[in-house]
Amino acid sequence: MKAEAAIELTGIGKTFPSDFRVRTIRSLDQVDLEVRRGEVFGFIGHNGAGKTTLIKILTGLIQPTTGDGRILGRPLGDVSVRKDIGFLPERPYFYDYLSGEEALRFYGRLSGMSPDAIRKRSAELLEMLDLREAAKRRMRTFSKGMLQRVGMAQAILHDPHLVILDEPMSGLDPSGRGRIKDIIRMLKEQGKTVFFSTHILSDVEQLCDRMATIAQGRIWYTGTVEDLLNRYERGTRFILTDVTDEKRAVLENLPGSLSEKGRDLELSLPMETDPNVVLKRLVAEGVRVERMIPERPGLEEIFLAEGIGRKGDAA
Amino acid sequence: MNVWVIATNTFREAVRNKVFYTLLFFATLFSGFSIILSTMVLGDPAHVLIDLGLANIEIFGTLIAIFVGITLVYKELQQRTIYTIITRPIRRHQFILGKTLGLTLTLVTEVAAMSLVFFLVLALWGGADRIADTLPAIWLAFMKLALITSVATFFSSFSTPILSGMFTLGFYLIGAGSGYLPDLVDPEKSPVLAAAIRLLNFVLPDFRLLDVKGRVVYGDPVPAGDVFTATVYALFYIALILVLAILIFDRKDIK
Repeated sequence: MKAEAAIELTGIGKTFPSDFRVRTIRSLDQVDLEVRRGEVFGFIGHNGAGKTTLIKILTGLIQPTTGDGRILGRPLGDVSVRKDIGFLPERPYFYDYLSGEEALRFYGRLSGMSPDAIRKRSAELLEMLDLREAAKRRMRTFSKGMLQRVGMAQAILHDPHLVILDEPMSGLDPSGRGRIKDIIRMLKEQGKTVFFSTHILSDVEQLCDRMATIAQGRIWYTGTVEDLLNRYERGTRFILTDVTDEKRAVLENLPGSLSEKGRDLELSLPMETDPNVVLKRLVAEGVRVERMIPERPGLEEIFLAEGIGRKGDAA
Repeated sequence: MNVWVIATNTFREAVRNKVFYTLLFFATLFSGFSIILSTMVLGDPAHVLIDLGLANIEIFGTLIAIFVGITLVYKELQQRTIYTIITRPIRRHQFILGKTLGLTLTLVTEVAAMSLVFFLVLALWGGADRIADTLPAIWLAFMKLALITSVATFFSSFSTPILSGMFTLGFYLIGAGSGYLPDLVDPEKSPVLAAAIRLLNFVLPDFRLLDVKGRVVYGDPVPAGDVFTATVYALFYIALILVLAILIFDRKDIK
Protein backbone atom coordinates (compact mmCIF):
# COMPACT_ATOMS: atom_id res chain seq x y z
CA MET A 1 0.00 0.00 0.00
CA LYS A 2 1.44 3.34 -1.00
CA ALA A 3 1.35 6.11 1.59
CA GLU A 4 0.02 8.67 -0.87
CA ALA A 5 -3.12 6.77 -1.81
CA ALA A 6 -6.38 8.33 -0.67
CA ILE A 7 -8.28 5.27 -1.85
CA GLU A 8 -6.79 1.89 -2.56
CA LEU A 9 -9.02 -1.04 -3.46
CA THR A 10 -8.03 -4.57 -4.35
CA GLY A 11 -10.29 -7.22 -5.82
CA ILE A 12 -13.52 -5.61 -4.68
CA GLY A 13 -16.59 -7.58 -5.69
CA LYS A 14 -20.23 -7.21 -4.78
CA THR A 15 -23.14 -9.49 -5.42
CA PHE A 16 -26.74 -8.88 -4.40
CA PRO A 17 -29.40 -11.53 -4.01
CA SER A 18 -32.16 -11.23 -6.59
CA ASP A 19 -35.83 -11.02 -5.60
CA PHE A 20 -36.80 -14.14 -3.65
CA ARG A 21 -33.06 -14.87 -3.40
CA VAL A 22 -33.18 -17.39 -6.23
CA ARG A 23 -29.92 -16.17 -7.73
CA THR A 24 -27.27 -13.51 -7.22
CA ILE A 25 -26.63 -10.43 -9.30
CA ARG A 26 -23.02 -9.40 -9.69
CA SER A 27 -22.68 -5.64 -9.44
CA LEU A 28 -18.92 -5.32 -9.07
CA ASP A 29 -16.25 -7.75 -10.15
CA GLN A 30 -12.58 -7.68 -9.11
CA VAL A 31 -12.29 -3.92 -8.89
CA ASP A 32 -8.77 -2.64 -8.30
CA LEU A 33 -8.47 1.11 -7.93
CA GLU A 34 -6.02 3.66 -6.63
CA VAL A 35 -6.86 7.31 -6.12
CA ARG A 36 -3.91 9.47 -5.13
CA ARG A 37 -4.08 12.17 -2.50
CA GLY A 38 -4.77 15.62 -3.86
CA GLU A 39 -6.09 14.57 -7.25
CA VAL A 40 -9.48 15.02 -8.84
CA PHE A 41 -10.52 11.57 -9.95
CA GLY A 42 -13.38 10.94 -12.32
CA PHE A 43 -15.29 7.70 -12.19
CA ILE A 44 -17.09 7.14 -15.45
CA GLY A 45 -19.71 4.67 -16.45
CA HIS A 46 -23.17 4.47 -17.86
CA ASN A 47 -26.21 4.11 -15.65
CA GLY A 48 -26.13 0.75 -13.94
CA ALA A 49 -22.43 0.17 -14.58
CA GLY A 50 -21.62 -0.18 -10.88
CA LYS A 51 -20.51 3.38 -9.99
CA THR A 52 -22.93 3.94 -7.14
CA THR A 53 -22.32 0.45 -5.75
CA LEU A 54 -18.61 1.20 -5.48
CA ILE A 55 -19.30 4.58 -3.89
CA LYS A 56 -21.57 2.91 -1.35
CA ILE A 57 -18.75 0.53 -0.47
CA LEU A 58 -16.36 3.46 -0.05
CA THR A 59 -18.78 5.27 2.24
CA GLY A 60 -19.71 2.20 4.28
CA LEU A 61 -23.34 1.98 3.17
CA ILE A 62 -22.78 -1.54 1.89
CA GLN A 63 -20.14 -4.19 2.51
CA PRO A 64 -18.11 -5.72 -0.31
CA THR A 65 -18.63 -9.43 -0.92
CA THR A 66 -14.95 -9.89 -1.78
CA GLY A 67 -11.78 -7.84 -1.70
CA ASP A 68 -10.26 -5.33 0.60
CA GLY A 69 -9.17 -1.74 0.65
CA ARG A 70 -7.97 1.29 2.52
CA ILE A 71 -9.25 4.84 2.62
CA LEU A 72 -6.90 7.59 3.80
CA GLY A 73 -4.67 4.85 5.18
CA ARG A 74 -7.38 3.17 7.23
CA PRO A 75 -9.20 -0.09 6.49
CA LEU A 76 -12.44 -0.04 4.53
CA GLY A 77 -15.35 0.09 6.95
CA ASP A 78 -13.41 1.97 9.65
CA VAL A 79 -15.97 4.41 11.05
CA SER A 80 -13.38 6.87 12.39
CA VAL A 81 -12.10 7.68 8.90
CA ARG A 82 -15.48 9.13 7.99
CA LYS A 83 -14.76 12.35 9.80
CA ASP A 84 -12.25 13.00 7.01
CA ILE A 85 -14.68 12.05 4.24
CA GLY A 86 -17.38 14.21 2.73
CA PHE A 87 -20.12 12.55 0.70
CA LEU A 88 -22.72 13.89 -1.67
CA PRO A 89 -25.15 11.15 -2.74
CA GLU A 90 -26.82 11.12 -6.12
CA ARG A 91 -30.03 13.17 -5.92
CA PRO A 92 -29.54 14.00 -2.24
CA TYR A 93 -32.54 13.85 0.07
CA PHE A 94 -32.76 15.76 3.29
CA TYR A 95 -35.20 16.17 6.13
CA ASP A 96 -37.59 18.60 4.50
CA TYR A 97 -38.86 19.88 7.85
CA LEU A 98 -35.42 21.41 8.52
CA SER A 99 -34.19 24.71 7.18
CA GLY A 100 -30.89 24.80 5.30
CA GLU A 101 -29.20 26.23 8.36
CA GLU A 102 -30.68 23.61 10.70
CA ALA A 103 -29.62 20.82 8.36
CA LEU A 104 -26.02 22.03 8.37
CA ARG A 105 -26.09 22.31 12.17
CA PHE A 106 -27.35 18.72 12.36
CA TYR A 107 -24.67 17.39 10.01
CA GLY A 108 -21.96 19.43 11.70
CA ARG A 109 -22.85 17.97 15.09
CA LEU A 110 -22.80 14.45 13.65
CA SER A 111 -19.33 15.17 12.25
CA GLY A 112 -18.10 16.17 15.70
CA MET A 113 -17.76 19.90 14.99
CA SER A 114 -18.05 22.46 17.78
CA PRO A 115 -21.08 24.81 17.73
CA ASP A 116 -18.80 27.77 16.94
CA ALA A 117 -17.11 25.97 14.06
CA ILE A 118 -20.51 24.91 12.67
CA ARG A 119 -21.84 28.48 12.81
CA LYS A 120 -18.79 29.95 11.12
CA ARG A 121 -18.45 27.32 8.43
CA SER A 122 -22.21 27.19 7.68
CA ALA A 123 -22.33 30.94 7.16
CA GLU A 124 -19.32 30.71 4.84
CA LEU A 125 -20.79 27.86 2.78
CA LEU A 126 -24.30 29.30 2.58
CA GLU A 127 -22.76 32.49 1.24
CA MET A 128 -20.48 30.66 -1.17
CA LEU A 129 -23.29 28.48 -2.51
CA ASP A 130 -25.71 31.37 -2.79
CA LEU A 131 -28.07 29.91 -0.19
CA ARG A 132 -27.97 32.72 2.36
CA GLU A 133 -31.46 33.94 1.50
CA ALA A 134 -32.88 30.44 1.86
CA ALA A 135 -30.98 29.56 5.01
CA LYS A 136 -34.00 29.89 7.26
CA ARG A 137 -36.51 28.35 4.87
CA ARG A 138 -37.62 24.76 5.27
CA MET A 139 -36.08 22.56 2.61
CA ARG A 140 -39.42 21.27 1.37
CA THR A 141 -39.63 24.56 -0.56
CA PHE A 142 -36.19 24.16 -2.16
CA SER A 143 -35.63 23.59 -5.87
CA LYS A 144 -33.55 20.67 -7.08
CA GLY A 145 -30.56 22.91 -7.67
CA MET A 146 -30.81 24.33 -4.16
CA LEU A 147 -30.98 20.85 -2.66
CA GLN A 148 -27.90 19.88 -4.62
CA ARG A 149 -26.11 22.93 -3.22
CA VAL A 150 -27.15 22.01 0.32
CA GLY A 151 -25.82 18.55 -0.51
CA MET A 152 -22.50 20.04 -1.50
CA ALA A 153 -22.43 22.20 1.62
CA GLN A 154 -23.02 19.25 3.96
CA ALA A 155 -20.35 17.25 2.10
CA ILE A 156 -17.60 19.82 2.65
CA LEU A 157 -18.90 21.33 5.91
CA HIS A 158 -16.39 19.53 8.13
CA ASP A 159 -13.44 20.30 5.84
CA PRO A 160 -12.82 16.66 4.84
CA HIS A 161 -9.63 15.45 3.15
CA LEU A 162 -11.52 13.25 0.73
CA VAL A 163 -14.74 14.35 -0.97
CA ILE A 164 -16.82 11.68 -2.70
CA LEU A 165 -19.50 12.98 -5.05
CA ASP A 166 -22.00 10.71 -6.76
CA GLU A 167 -23.19 12.31 -10.00
CA PRO A 168 -22.78 15.82 -8.55
CA MET A 169 -23.92 17.60 -11.70
CA SER A 170 -26.80 15.36 -12.60
CA GLY A 171 -29.96 17.26 -13.46
CA LEU A 172 -28.51 20.72 -12.88
CA ASP A 173 -28.83 23.68 -15.21
CA PRO A 174 -25.65 25.15 -16.76
CA SER A 175 -25.14 27.68 -13.96
CA GLY A 176 -25.61 25.00 -11.32
CA ARG A 177 -23.14 22.74 -13.10
CA GLY A 178 -20.68 25.60 -13.36
CA ARG A 179 -20.95 26.27 -9.64
CA ILE A 180 -20.27 22.64 -8.74
CA LYS A 181 -17.29 22.58 -11.11
CA ASP A 182 -15.91 25.71 -9.45
CA ILE A 183 -16.18 24.04 -6.06
CA ILE A 184 -14.37 20.95 -7.32
CA ARG A 185 -11.59 23.20 -8.65
CA MET A 186 -11.47 25.06 -5.33
CA LEU A 187 -11.18 21.77 -3.43
CA LYS A 188 -8.34 20.75 -5.70
CA GLU A 189 -6.55 24.04 -4.98
CA GLN A 190 -6.98 23.37 -1.26
CA GLY A 191 -5.20 20.04 -1.72
CA LYS A 192 -8.28 17.88 -1.17
CA THR A 193 -8.87 14.63 -2.97
CA VAL A 194 -12.06 14.62 -5.00
CA PHE A 195 -13.58 11.40 -6.29
CA PHE A 196 -16.65 11.91 -8.39
CA SER A 197 -18.78 9.68 -10.54
CA THR A 198 -20.46 10.82 -13.67
CA HIS A 199 -21.68 9.69 -17.03
CA ILE A 200 -21.09 13.17 -18.46
CA LEU A 201 -17.75 12.76 -20.13
CA SER A 202 -16.98 16.39 -20.81
CA ASP A 203 -17.00 17.03 -17.05
CA VAL A 204 -14.18 14.54 -16.65
CA GLU A 205 -12.23 16.07 -19.50
CA GLN A 206 -12.52 19.49 -17.88
CA LEU A 207 -11.86 18.63 -14.26
CA CYS A 208 -9.98 15.42 -13.70
CA ASP A 209 -6.33 14.59 -13.23
CA ARG A 210 -7.07 10.92 -13.64
CA MET A 211 -10.06 8.75 -14.29
CA ALA A 212 -11.37 5.23 -14.27
CA THR A 213 -14.07 3.79 -16.41
CA ILE A 214 -16.38 1.05 -15.26
CA ALA A 215 -18.70 -1.13 -17.28
CA GLN A 216 -20.55 -4.28 -16.28
CA GLY A 217 -19.02 -3.97 -12.85
CA ARG A 218 -15.42 -4.09 -14.06
CA ILE A 219 -12.85 -1.37 -14.40
CA TRP A 220 -11.53 -1.29 -17.92
CA TYR A 221 -9.34 1.80 -17.83
CA THR A 222 -7.51 3.74 -15.13
CA GLY A 223 -5.19 6.60 -15.99
CA THR A 224 -5.17 10.15 -17.24
CA VAL A 225 -7.81 11.47 -19.58
CA GLU A 226 -5.01 12.50 -21.92
CA ASP A 227 -3.57 9.00 -22.13
CA LEU A 228 -6.94 7.51 -22.92
CA LEU A 229 -7.62 10.06 -25.63
CA ASN A 230 -4.14 9.58 -27.08
CA ARG A 231 -4.83 5.89 -27.48
CA TYR A 232 -7.56 6.80 -29.90
CA GLU A 233 -5.74 9.62 -31.70
CA ARG A 234 -6.58 9.58 -35.38
CA GLY A 235 -4.00 11.96 -36.82
CA THR A 236 -3.49 15.72 -36.98
CA ARG A 237 -5.17 18.59 -38.78
CA PHE A 238 -3.41 21.78 -39.87
CA ILE A 239 -5.36 24.94 -40.63
CA LEU A 240 -3.38 26.97 -43.16
CA THR A 241 -3.99 30.57 -44.25
CA ASP A 242 -2.90 32.80 -47.13
CA VAL A 243 -1.95 29.82 -49.31
CA THR A 244 -0.88 30.86 -52.79
CA ASP A 245 -1.26 28.56 -55.82
CA GLU A 246 2.48 28.00 -55.81
CA LYS A 247 2.45 26.88 -52.20
CA ARG A 248 -0.66 24.81 -52.77
CA ALA A 249 1.26 22.74 -55.32
CA VAL A 250 3.82 21.98 -52.62
CA LEU A 251 1.10 21.00 -50.18
CA GLU A 252 -0.38 18.56 -52.64
CA ASN A 253 2.84 16.56 -52.51
CA LEU A 254 2.63 16.14 -48.73
CA PRO A 255 1.04 13.07 -47.13
CA GLY A 256 -2.59 13.50 -46.11
CA SER A 257 -5.55 15.14 -47.73
CA LEU A 258 -6.21 18.76 -48.53
CA SER A 259 -9.58 20.45 -48.35
CA GLU A 260 -10.88 23.99 -48.46
CA LYS A 261 -12.39 25.56 -45.34
CA GLY A 262 -13.72 28.93 -46.40
CA ARG A 263 -10.67 31.04 -47.25
CA ASP A 264 -8.36 28.61 -45.45
CA LEU A 265 -7.01 25.23 -46.33
CA GLU A 266 -7.13 22.20 -44.09
CA LEU A 267 -4.45 19.54 -44.26
CA SER A 268 -5.42 16.26 -42.54
CA LEU A 269 -2.54 13.93 -41.74
CA PRO A 270 -3.00 10.22 -41.20
CA MET A 271 -2.03 8.70 -37.83
CA GLU A 272 1.27 7.21 -39.14
CA THR A 273 2.68 10.58 -40.30
CA ASP A 274 4.75 12.51 -37.77
CA PRO A 275 3.07 15.95 -37.58
CA ASN A 276 6.30 17.61 -36.38
CA VAL A 277 8.12 16.67 -39.57
CA VAL A 278 5.27 18.11 -41.66
CA LEU A 279 5.17 21.24 -39.51
CA LYS A 280 8.89 21.89 -40.14
CA ARG A 281 8.34 21.43 -43.87
CA LEU A 282 5.41 23.84 -43.87
CA VAL A 283 7.41 26.48 -42.01
CA ALA A 284 10.34 25.98 -44.39
CA GLU A 285 8.01 26.48 -47.37
CA GLY A 286 6.72 29.72 -45.84
CA VAL A 287 3.16 28.45 -45.34
CA ARG A 288 1.29 30.20 -42.53
CA VAL A 289 0.06 27.61 -40.03
CA GLU A 290 -2.93 29.00 -38.21
CA ARG A 291 -3.60 25.96 -36.01
CA MET A 292 -2.38 22.43 -35.44
CA ILE A 293 -5.13 20.18 -34.06
CA PRO A 294 -4.59 16.61 -32.89
CA GLU A 295 -7.58 14.66 -34.14
CA ARG A 296 -8.92 12.77 -31.14
CA PRO A 297 -12.36 11.43 -30.45
CA GLY A 298 -14.27 12.55 -27.36
CA LEU A 299 -14.77 10.11 -24.55
CA GLU A 300 -18.33 9.58 -25.71
CA GLU A 301 -17.07 8.35 -29.09
CA ILE A 302 -14.57 6.08 -27.38
CA PHE A 303 -17.31 4.62 -25.24
CA LEU A 304 -19.48 4.02 -28.26
CA ALA A 305 -16.58 2.58 -30.23
CA GLU A 306 -15.77 0.16 -27.42
CA GLY A 307 -19.41 -0.83 -27.04
CA ILE A 308 -19.35 0.14 -23.37
CA GLY A 309 -22.54 0.70 -21.50
CA ARG A 310 -24.78 -1.33 -23.70
CA LYS A 311 -27.50 -3.56 -22.39
CA GLY A 312 -26.35 -6.25 -20.03
CA ASP A 313 -24.42 -3.95 -17.74
CA ALA A 314 -24.45 -4.79 -14.11
CA ALA A 315 -27.11 -3.23 -11.94
CA MET B 1 -23.38 12.48 21.68
CA ASN B 2 -24.37 11.11 18.25
CA VAL B 3 -27.30 9.24 19.79
CA TRP B 4 -28.54 12.48 21.32
CA VAL B 5 -28.13 14.45 18.05
CA ILE B 6 -30.22 11.87 16.16
CA ALA B 7 -32.74 11.64 19.02
CA THR B 8 -33.33 15.39 19.17
CA ASN B 9 -33.71 15.54 15.41
CA THR B 10 -36.21 12.67 15.45
CA PHE B 11 -38.11 14.47 18.19
CA ARG B 12 -38.09 17.65 16.12
CA GLU B 13 -39.47 15.73 13.13
CA ALA B 14 -42.34 14.36 15.24
CA VAL B 15 -43.30 17.69 16.79
CA ARG B 16 -43.23 19.37 13.38
CA ASN B 17 -45.60 16.74 12.07
CA LYS B 18 -49.29 17.62 11.89
CA VAL B 19 -50.28 14.04 12.78
CA PHE B 20 -48.79 14.52 16.24
CA TYR B 21 -51.02 17.53 16.93
CA THR B 22 -54.04 15.85 15.39
CA LEU B 23 -53.63 12.93 17.79
CA LEU B 24 -53.14 15.32 20.71
CA PHE B 25 -56.28 17.18 19.68
CA PHE B 26 -58.36 14.01 19.59
CA ALA B 27 -56.84 12.89 22.89
CA THR B 28 -57.97 16.16 24.47
CA LEU B 29 -61.39 15.77 22.88
CA PHE B 30 -61.60 12.30 24.36
CA SER B 31 -60.84 13.80 27.81
CA GLY B 32 -63.86 16.05 27.36
CA PHE B 33 -65.91 13.01 26.46
CA SER B 34 -64.81 11.29 29.68
CA ILE B 35 -66.17 14.27 31.66
CA ILE B 36 -69.58 13.94 30.02
CA LEU B 37 -69.58 10.18 30.59
CA SER B 38 -68.64 10.56 34.26
CA THR B 39 -71.77 12.62 34.88
CA MET B 40 -73.96 9.94 33.37
CA VAL B 41 -72.91 6.97 35.52
CA LEU B 42 -73.90 6.01 39.01
CA GLY B 43 -71.31 6.04 41.79
CA ASP B 44 -68.03 7.87 42.04
CA PRO B 45 -67.42 9.91 38.84
CA ALA B 46 -63.70 9.96 39.66
CA HIS B 47 -63.57 6.21 38.88
CA VAL B 48 -64.77 6.89 35.35
CA LEU B 49 -62.50 9.88 34.92
CA ILE B 50 -59.45 7.92 36.08
CA ASP B 51 -60.34 4.84 34.07
CA LEU B 52 -60.94 6.73 30.83
CA GLY B 53 -58.11 9.20 31.43
CA LEU B 54 -55.53 6.44 31.85
CA ALA B 55 -56.95 4.49 28.90
CA ASN B 56 -56.78 7.68 26.87
CA ILE B 57 -53.08 8.16 27.57
CA GLU B 58 -52.34 4.57 26.66
CA ILE B 59 -54.46 4.37 23.51
CA PHE B 60 -53.19 7.59 21.93
CA GLY B 61 -49.65 6.83 23.07
CA THR B 62 -49.88 3.41 21.44
CA LEU B 63 -51.17 4.97 18.22
CA ILE B 64 -48.20 7.37 18.12
CA ALA B 65 -45.73 4.62 19.04
CA ILE B 66 -47.00 2.31 16.32
CA PHE B 67 -47.67 4.83 13.55
CA VAL B 68 -44.43 6.73 13.98
CA GLY B 69 -42.39 3.71 15.02
CA ILE B 70 -43.16 1.52 12.00
CA THR B 71 -41.80 4.14 9.60
CA LEU B 72 -38.98 5.30 11.84
CA VAL B 73 -36.10 3.53 10.07
CA TYR B 74 -37.96 2.44 6.93
CA LYS B 75 -38.65 6.04 5.90
CA GLU B 76 -34.98 6.91 6.28
CA LEU B 77 -34.10 4.07 3.93
CA GLN B 78 -36.85 4.78 1.41
CA GLN B 79 -36.29 8.54 1.31
CA ARG B 80 -32.51 8.01 1.41
CA THR B 81 -32.06 10.60 4.15
CA ILE B 82 -29.94 7.98 5.89
CA TYR B 83 -27.20 8.30 3.24
CA THR B 84 -25.85 11.58 4.59
CA ILE B 85 -26.07 10.37 8.20
CA ILE B 86 -24.66 6.87 8.26
CA THR B 87 -21.70 7.99 6.12
CA ARG B 88 -20.55 10.26 8.95
CA PRO B 89 -18.47 9.09 11.88
CA ILE B 90 -21.39 7.43 13.60
CA ARG B 91 -22.02 3.77 14.25
CA ARG B 92 -25.17 2.08 13.12
CA HIS B 93 -26.23 1.16 16.64
CA GLN B 94 -26.05 4.86 17.51
CA PHE B 95 -28.49 5.55 14.69
CA ILE B 96 -30.98 2.92 15.92
CA LEU B 97 -30.66 4.05 19.53
CA GLY B 98 -31.01 7.71 18.51
CA LYS B 99 -34.14 7.08 16.48
CA THR B 100 -35.70 5.04 19.30
CA LEU B 101 -34.76 7.61 21.93
CA GLY B 102 -36.19 10.38 19.73
CA LEU B 103 -39.53 8.65 19.47
CA THR B 104 -39.45 7.92 23.20
CA LEU B 105 -38.90 11.64 23.86
CA THR B 106 -41.93 12.33 21.68
CA LEU B 107 -43.95 9.91 23.79
CA VAL B 108 -42.69 11.58 26.98
CA THR B 109 -44.08 14.85 25.61
CA GLU B 110 -47.35 13.22 24.60
CA VAL B 111 -47.79 11.44 27.93
CA ALA B 112 -46.85 14.60 29.85
CA ALA B 113 -49.28 16.78 27.86
CA MET B 114 -52.12 14.29 28.20
CA SER B 115 -51.40 13.71 31.88
CA LEU B 116 -51.62 17.44 32.51
CA VAL B 117 -55.03 17.57 30.81
CA PHE B 118 -56.05 14.47 32.78
CA PHE B 119 -54.89 15.96 36.11
CA LEU B 120 -56.70 19.21 35.33
CA VAL B 121 -59.94 17.38 34.54
CA LEU B 122 -59.59 15.25 37.67
CA ALA B 123 -58.86 18.27 39.88
CA LEU B 124 -61.81 20.26 38.50
CA TRP B 125 -64.24 17.37 39.00
CA GLY B 126 -63.30 16.75 42.61
CA GLY B 127 -60.62 14.10 42.25
CA ALA B 128 -57.53 16.19 43.10
CA ASP B 129 -56.67 13.88 45.98
CA ARG B 130 -56.45 10.92 43.56
CA ILE B 131 -53.84 12.46 41.24
CA ALA B 132 -50.84 11.07 43.12
CA ASP B 133 -52.39 7.56 43.03
CA THR B 134 -52.46 7.60 39.24
CA LEU B 135 -48.72 8.27 38.84
CA PRO B 136 -47.61 4.58 38.98
CA ALA B 137 -50.18 3.72 36.30
CA ILE B 138 -49.02 6.57 34.08
CA TRP B 139 -45.38 5.61 34.54
CA LEU B 140 -46.03 1.96 33.66
CA ALA B 141 -48.21 2.95 30.70
CA PHE B 142 -45.23 4.97 29.50
CA MET B 143 -42.95 1.94 29.95
CA LYS B 144 -45.37 -0.08 27.85
CA LEU B 145 -45.27 2.60 25.15
CA ALA B 146 -41.46 2.60 25.23
CA LEU B 147 -41.56 -1.16 24.77
CA ILE B 148 -43.95 -0.88 21.81
CA THR B 149 -41.68 1.82 20.34
CA SER B 150 -38.67 -0.48 20.49
CA VAL B 151 -40.66 -3.29 18.85
CA ALA B 152 -41.88 -0.98 16.07
CA THR B 153 -38.30 0.23 15.55
CA PHE B 154 -37.10 -3.36 15.40
CA PHE B 155 -39.56 -4.30 12.66
CA SER B 156 -39.04 -0.99 10.86
CA SER B 157 -35.32 -1.73 10.50
CA PHE B 158 -35.98 -4.56 8.03
CA SER B 159 -39.63 -4.55 7.05
CA THR B 160 -42.24 -2.41 5.28
CA PRO B 161 -44.55 -0.19 7.38
CA ILE B 162 -47.59 -2.40 6.66
CA LEU B 163 -45.84 -5.56 7.81
CA SER B 164 -44.20 -3.73 10.71
CA GLY B 165 -47.59 -2.39 11.74
CA MET B 166 -49.12 -5.86 11.65
CA PHE B 167 -46.21 -7.40 13.56
CA THR B 168 -46.20 -4.64 16.18
CA LEU B 169 -49.95 -4.86 16.63
CA GLY B 170 -49.55 -8.62 16.94
CA PHE B 171 -46.89 -8.08 19.61
CA TYR B 172 -49.24 -5.73 21.44
CA LEU B 173 -52.10 -8.23 21.35
CA ILE B 174 -49.84 -11.08 22.44
CA GLY B 175 -48.55 -8.90 25.26
CA ALA B 176 -52.09 -8.17 26.36
CA GLY B 177 -53.16 -11.82 26.28
CA SER B 178 -50.09 -13.98 26.93
CA GLY B 179 -50.46 -13.73 30.70
CA TYR B 180 -53.65 -15.76 30.48
CA LEU B 181 -52.10 -18.60 28.46
CA PRO B 182 -51.22 -20.82 31.47
CA ASP B 183 -54.85 -20.69 32.56
CA LEU B 184 -55.85 -22.50 29.37
CA VAL B 185 -54.07 -25.76 30.23
CA ASP B 186 -54.40 -28.01 33.25
CA PRO B 187 -50.81 -28.96 34.21
CA GLU B 188 -51.98 -32.24 35.75
CA LYS B 189 -53.71 -33.40 32.58
CA SER B 190 -51.15 -32.10 30.05
CA PRO B 191 -47.83 -31.55 31.80
CA VAL B 192 -45.79 -31.26 28.58
CA LEU B 193 -48.16 -28.72 27.02
CA ALA B 194 -48.29 -26.82 30.29
CA ALA B 195 -44.47 -26.69 30.42
CA ALA B 196 -44.36 -25.50 26.80
CA ILE B 197 -46.88 -22.78 27.55
CA ARG B 198 -44.95 -21.72 30.64
CA LEU B 199 -41.84 -21.39 28.45
CA LEU B 200 -43.81 -19.46 25.84
CA ASN B 201 -45.24 -17.28 28.56
CA PHE B 202 -41.70 -16.59 29.76
CA VAL B 203 -40.46 -15.60 26.28
CA LEU B 204 -43.51 -13.62 25.14
CA PRO B 205 -44.16 -10.18 26.56
CA ASP B 206 -46.66 -10.01 29.41
CA PHE B 207 -48.26 -6.61 29.75
CA ARG B 208 -50.19 -7.60 32.88
CA LEU B 209 -47.12 -6.58 34.89
CA LEU B 210 -47.30 -3.10 33.37
CA ASP B 211 -51.03 -2.68 33.77
CA VAL B 212 -52.04 -1.42 37.21
CA LYS B 213 -54.93 0.66 35.93
CA GLY B 214 -57.59 -1.48 37.59
CA ARG B 215 -55.89 -1.20 40.97
CA VAL B 216 -55.50 2.56 40.64
CA VAL B 217 -59.13 3.10 39.60
CA TYR B 218 -60.41 1.34 42.70
CA GLY B 219 -57.89 2.99 44.98
CA ASP B 220 -55.84 -0.15 45.71
CA PRO B 221 -52.27 0.81 46.54
CA VAL B 222 -49.56 -0.11 44.05
CA PRO B 223 -46.42 -0.97 46.03
CA ALA B 224 -43.18 0.65 44.85
CA GLY B 225 -41.67 -2.84 44.57
CA ASP B 226 -44.25 -3.80 41.93
CA VAL B 227 -43.52 -0.65 39.95
CA PHE B 228 -39.79 -1.32 40.19
CA THR B 229 -40.14 -4.96 39.07
CA ALA B 230 -42.36 -4.00 36.15
CA THR B 231 -39.95 -1.22 35.13
CA VAL B 232 -36.97 -3.59 35.19
CA TYR B 233 -39.00 -6.13 33.18
CA ALA B 234 -39.86 -3.53 30.53
CA LEU B 235 -36.31 -2.20 30.35
CA PHE B 236 -34.94 -5.70 29.97
CA TYR B 237 -37.35 -6.43 27.14
CA ILE B 238 -36.58 -3.10 25.45
CA ALA B 239 -32.84 -3.81 25.67
CA LEU B 240 -33.31 -7.29 24.21
CA ILE B 241 -35.35 -6.04 21.28
CA LEU B 242 -32.98 -3.17 20.55
CA VAL B 243 -30.00 -5.53 20.57
CA LEU B 244 -31.80 -7.67 17.97
CA ALA B 245 -32.63 -4.58 15.89
CA ILE B 246 -29.00 -3.45 16.04
CA LEU B 247 -27.69 -6.90 15.08
CA ILE B 248 -29.92 -6.92 12.00
CA PHE B 249 -29.30 -3.29 11.04
CA ASP B 250 -25.53 -3.59 11.51
CA ARG B 251 -25.30 -6.17 8.74
CA LYS B 252 -27.79 -4.52 6.44
CA ASP B 253 -26.73 -3.25 3.02
CA ILE B 254 -28.20 0.21 2.62
CA LYS B 255 -29.05 0.08 -1.07
